[in-house]
Amino acid sequence: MRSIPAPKFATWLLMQLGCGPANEAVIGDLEEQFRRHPRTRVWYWRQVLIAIVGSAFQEIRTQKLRTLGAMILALAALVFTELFLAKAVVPITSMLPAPLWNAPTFQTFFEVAVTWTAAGLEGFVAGWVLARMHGGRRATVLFFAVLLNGAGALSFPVHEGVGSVAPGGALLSLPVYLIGVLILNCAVFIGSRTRTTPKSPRIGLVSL
Amino acid sequence: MGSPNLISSFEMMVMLALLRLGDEAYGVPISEEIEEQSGHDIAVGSVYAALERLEARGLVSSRVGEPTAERGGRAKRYFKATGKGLKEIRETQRTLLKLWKNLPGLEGGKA
Repeated sequence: MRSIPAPKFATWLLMQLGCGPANEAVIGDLEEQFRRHPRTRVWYWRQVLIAIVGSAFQEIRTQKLRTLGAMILALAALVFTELFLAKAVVPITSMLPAPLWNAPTFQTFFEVAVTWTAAGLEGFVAGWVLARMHGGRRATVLFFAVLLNGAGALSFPVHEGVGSVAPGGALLSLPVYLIGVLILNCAVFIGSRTRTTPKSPRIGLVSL
Repeated sequence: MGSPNLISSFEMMVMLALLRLGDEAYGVPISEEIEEQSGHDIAVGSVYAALERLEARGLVSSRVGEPTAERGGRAKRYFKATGKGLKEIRETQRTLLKLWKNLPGLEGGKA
């Protein structure tokens, strides 16, 4: 048996995103195999990704309608929050003194601050809705994040063109956008944790 | 007439590995047994996904075992085929054997 520990980040990721009721056992099994056999880190990461995706599909397959309903409501909550924030930001810009607002550096700073704050709030609200609608099940949160990131990747060229909050403000650059996406994902995850995930009722541990 | 809830070939492999291992059947030996017999690399996650499906259908039952240092202090989860699971395997085997008979394309070891 070797003493090299399994990749910690991969294990942490599986702990956070693994959806199956036997997630702890899966992590233990992978650790045991990694220590007992000459397995590579690539092997471990591959196993972790298969376990996360496989367990997510498994959970969603058993609760298709609830998952779909929770995702639609979370998406609606996200859009409404975005619309609300967009309306709330306009009066703030008009209250700012003209010399300050006209400074290009301030406009960029303001736009970045608004983008990131909005991403955080929208993500948290969506995650909160997921938690209320579906107990914040990891598979649902994971699929919602995939959907959101897919839509975000597709809409980036549009954002790049029209993303400025302030008139004449700087366009969203790729790093700012990517950090915003990261904040959004983290916020969804945190929001979904406002309610603990219930144990799957369909599989109980049976004494042999 | 509703279609029967059939066991997939991978689920069948998992069930047979369970039977071969007896009381010591948990994720690691199950995946190793299938790897050894099939010659393919098997992901532990896929084995658990199959086991959960089988457990949900009452074909397999499980119990939590003892945690060990080798596993980072995590407990093993042992699986065992239930009576219903054994019956299902036998029925599947019977069906497959019937379908296997008199196949002109497979006679003489040709595939």
